[in-house]
Amino acid sequence: MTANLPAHSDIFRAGIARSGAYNRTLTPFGFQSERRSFWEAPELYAKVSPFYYADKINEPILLIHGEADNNQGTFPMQSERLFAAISGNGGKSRLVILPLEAHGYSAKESVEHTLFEMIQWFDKYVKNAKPRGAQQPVAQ
Amino acid sequence: MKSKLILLLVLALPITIFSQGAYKKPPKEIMDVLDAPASPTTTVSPGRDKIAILEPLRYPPIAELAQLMLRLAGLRINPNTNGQHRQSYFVSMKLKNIADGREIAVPAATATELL
Repeated sequence: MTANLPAHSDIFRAGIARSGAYNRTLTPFGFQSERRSFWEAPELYAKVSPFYYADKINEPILLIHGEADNNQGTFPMQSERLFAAISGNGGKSRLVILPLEAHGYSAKESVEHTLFEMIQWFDKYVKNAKPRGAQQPVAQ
Repeated sequence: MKSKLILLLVLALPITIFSQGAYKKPPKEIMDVLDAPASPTTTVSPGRDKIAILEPLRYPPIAELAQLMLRLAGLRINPNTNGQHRQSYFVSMKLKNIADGREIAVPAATATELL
């Protein structure tokens, strides 16, 4: 969800997406309340997947994922691929992989580190960022 | 010039390694929230004269997640304990006399001792 916002709008300065699914073609037999398969509704799968719009993600986005995420549809590959796609298109992203963690983060160290990363990210790109007009024109 | 650059790289190497590797902590205000004990669960003794006050573990140490896990017949077994992998447990226990409210602390193993 978070990754869709900077891809389709310019109303946010930065984003943080955790343990997400960014390419729905990797869950081709339906997801959430969508029951049609990828082959029945390929346009829909593309439309809801921020991976397809990675070249339009023009605000900094922090991606956090558990290395052992065994949740159907949110394997760590989702964040790895989106990170590579954004970076490869010149966007700003940071990928944090939490060792041994699944879909929800349980260890003390992981919970602490996640919060540390989130605060750092928003401090840098929102709290202490220059006003947008002074920095660069609003894209598109 | 080249040797200076190499020296600089060699000096900077440990800094890069150590700054990437370690877990970091959020500001103190947030740590205080994370460190706050979880709400206890209680159980009354069969004689109905004492209450056991048990404090659950909120976040296990990462070392616990790193314990060896055997996948046996659909069960997740920790061979070091021959028990369930990542079993939930309490971190402290107090016995309270219902009559006079006196509390007795029961010594408990720490998370590290359990591993």
